[in-house]
Parts: sequence; C-alpha cells; structure tokens
Amino acid sequence: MSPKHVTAILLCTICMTAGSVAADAPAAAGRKFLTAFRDCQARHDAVACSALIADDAMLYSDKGEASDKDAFLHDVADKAKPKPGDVVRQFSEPEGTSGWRVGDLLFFNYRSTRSETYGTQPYHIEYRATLVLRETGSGSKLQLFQATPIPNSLRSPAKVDPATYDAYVGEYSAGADDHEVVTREGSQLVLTLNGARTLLKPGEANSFYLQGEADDWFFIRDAQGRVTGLESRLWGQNILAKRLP
Amino acid sequence: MNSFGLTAGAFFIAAGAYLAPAHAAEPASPERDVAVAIHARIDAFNRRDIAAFAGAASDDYQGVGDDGANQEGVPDYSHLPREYSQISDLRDMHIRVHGDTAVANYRTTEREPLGGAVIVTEERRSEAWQKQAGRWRLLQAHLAPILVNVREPVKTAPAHLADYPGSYEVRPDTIAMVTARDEHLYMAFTGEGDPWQASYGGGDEFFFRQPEGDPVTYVFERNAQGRVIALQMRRPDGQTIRAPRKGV
Repeated sequence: MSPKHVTAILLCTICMTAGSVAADAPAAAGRKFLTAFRDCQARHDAVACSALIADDAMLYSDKGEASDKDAFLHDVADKAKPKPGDVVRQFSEPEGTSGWRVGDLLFFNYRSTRSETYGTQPYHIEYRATLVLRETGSGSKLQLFQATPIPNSLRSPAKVDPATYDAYVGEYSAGADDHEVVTREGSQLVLTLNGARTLLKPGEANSFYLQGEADDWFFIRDAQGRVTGLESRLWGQNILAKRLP
Repeated sequence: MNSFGLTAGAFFIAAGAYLAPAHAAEPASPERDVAVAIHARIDAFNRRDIAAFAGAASDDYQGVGDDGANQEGVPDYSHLPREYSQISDLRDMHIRVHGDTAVANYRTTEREPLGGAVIVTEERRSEAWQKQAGRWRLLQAHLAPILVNVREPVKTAPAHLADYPGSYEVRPDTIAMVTARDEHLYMAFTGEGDPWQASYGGGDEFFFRQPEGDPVTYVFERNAQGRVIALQMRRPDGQTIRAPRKGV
C-alpha cells in the first residue's frame, strides 16, 4: 500500500481485439478492444496482449508514469505468479464512452472505476482514459494510452449540522480577479468561484471539497473564532482567500 | 483560486510559430516537425495568441483535461491574462509518426501566480496529431496531473518518534514496517523494497516528498491512553485506509 498502490497504474484497463474492430462503429470498436485487452491481462496471456499492442506504443498511467510494450508485457506475465503485497484490481465496465476515427487512428474515450481491497476496506478510484488505436492491415494496435483520475467523484460527504454553515457565508478573494462567494441554500453550502457555481461538500476534520476537484477547502478563523478566510490546499500548495468586508 | 478549478482550462494548452532550441538543431524529420508544432502551440498559449492556439488544433479537436473532464473544441483563453498562467519546461518528449498521423507524449510545468504564491502544476500530456494540407494539427489531447507533493516538512523533529515503530497490517499479506533512526521515520511496505524516509508534517502526521507522486498523508492513530494503535493512509479524495498495528 505504498504510494505506488494508492495511485496505481491503470494500464490494466486498456484493451483491444486484434484485427476485428475496423469494421465496427468507433465506440463499439473501442469497447470491443478494451474487453479483449482486459481479458488477455486477466488470463496473464502476454502473447495475446502482445498482438494487441503496437511495438512503439506509449502507455501512461494515472500517475503520469511511463511504460512501453516490453515493460507492460513483462508486468502481465509477472502477475501470473502472485507475490505478497500484490494488489488485485478490478475494473468496472466502461461508461460515458465515445469513439471516433481520424485517418488510421481510432480514439476511444471512457470512464471506469478501479477497485481494490485492503483487509475488508474497499478502495475505489474513478478515472477517465483515452485509447488511441492504429488500424493496420494486421489488425488494430494500441498506440497510446493515458488515464486521468477524477478527483472526489466517489467521496461521501460527512454529516454536519447545516446551521454551522451560516458563519461561512460571505465573499472572499485571494487577489485581483479572484472572487469567491459562499452562500447557504437550505442544507447546502454553495461556492460561486469566479462565476461558476458548485457545492461545497463537508469532508473530514472541518474540511470541504468539490466534486471532481482534488483540493481540500478550509475556512480559517481568527483567535476570536471569526471566519477570516477560505483556503484551498492541494498537496502542500495552499491559496488563502481573505474574507472581504 | 482553487488551483484545479482556476486552471482547468489551461490544461489544454499547447501551439505557434516557435522553434524550441532543443529541436532547432535536429535534422529535418517528421518527428521534428511534430515537436515544432507542439512547442509552437504551447508558445501561442503563453503569448495568448488565441488565433494561433486555436488554429493549431483540428476543427474536430477533442480533449480530456487533467481533472478527467471531457472537453469538445479548443477552450477560449482570451480572458486569461498572460501572467496568470505560463506553460514551460516541455521535456521527456516522445513522438511516433506513422504516415500522416502521429502520437506524442511529454511533460510540462505550469506556473500560476495566485494569492501571493506561485502554484506549480506538473503534467503529462498525450496528444494525437494529423498532417492536414501540409500542416500538423492537433486532433486530440489527454492530460493528467503528476501528483508532486510539494508540502514542506515542519522544522522540528517528531516529538514522539519512538511511539511509531512497529508492524501495521494493510492487508494480511501486506505489512507496513515502520522504523525510526536519526530523528527520522522510515516505512517499508511488503514487496516494495527498501524503506522510504518520511517527511514530518506535525502532530502524528507524515508524508513523502517525491519527484512524482504521493498525495497521501500518513497519520498514526492513538487510543484513549495515547498509544499508537493504527496507521491511517489518507488520500486527498477522502478515502482512508486504516492499517491496525500488529500485537496491540
């Protein structure tokens, strides 16, 4: 459960069926490819996977880690001999799919969720991925893969008394051209950020979060307990917006 | 002000008429031409040459931002002042050209002055290009943030370092071994090789500063008597994995 596990490679989500997708509609072809590619990985069949990947393929995980065909196939074969510490991952069916062709390239874009288990604790990461397949005479080959995690999409809000939200209502700014307006609408706290309206959902330890955004938001108080600022924090980078009079 | 929210659009960036020094000396090749197009597009964004930026992409361009959201068409950055966002340090660039199409991947660094600080975002970009009427144009881009934890450790050494060493069960076959020496905490996970030195975040909190990727905060959990009984691994997305201490 090192950091490597926490945001692990999503290469296992890719897929493709050699030689049989060219005649299909793009989204259907992409889905078919993904199914076949997941299948060969589940069977630890490096030979079958190899037939689906271009020799000069570029593969990038949701962490931004780079891999290539050889490294990927080595990993597929290696997983056939489970070792202590290996993480078993499962992937949901692709959703929100789209596909399109340009020249000999087929693009397949989809959303999926990777699930792992730690003891009895489930762990899920939703991500969006793009497959770029090159359609050749010997079948479609995976040319490029990249995945991007979708932050906080599966997070459940903490239970908080909405009455506490009243103290946060106001306007905030981190500087020129930055403007946040916090309002309460019934039991919900609403953040209007530079004109865009979104819900501020309660997280743990007095933090808030936005669906689809990675940072945590904290209301800052002075010694007298008055809310004086709104700070977003992301992996050590903090931006403080002071409360406007 | 939200570092993701504010710049979500900027993640699509990239184009222009600019030849990066690194490619200027390279012999003519399709790969070089694509690299030039990539640098030019980024340069157009940095100059807020909206026409050049938009024109570098195909009419049917589609993309995925580093927040995982789909975007159709080239975003309009005309409202974004130059000094608010600059993309630089294009590196680790890989390009594959097959006839009139090409795929590319490279890293960038985005800097956004905001609220008295400069927010730095490392990204990896995958792109597909096509030569249209003799000119390389961007068909598709997919961006992903590289999770660099830039948090600064607190200056003081952990006050209760001796409280933490032990074995913590992440899963029955995965143990986090925690050790301490020379005022530092180390963690090693089953199957992950040598122990890693953790940075101290204050209280019972630790984290890892790595060039690429660890947004997790590691928090030692104490019972009512103050004894450390578990290691919590808290992701920024609200999911926490709790590893009970063995032998407690």
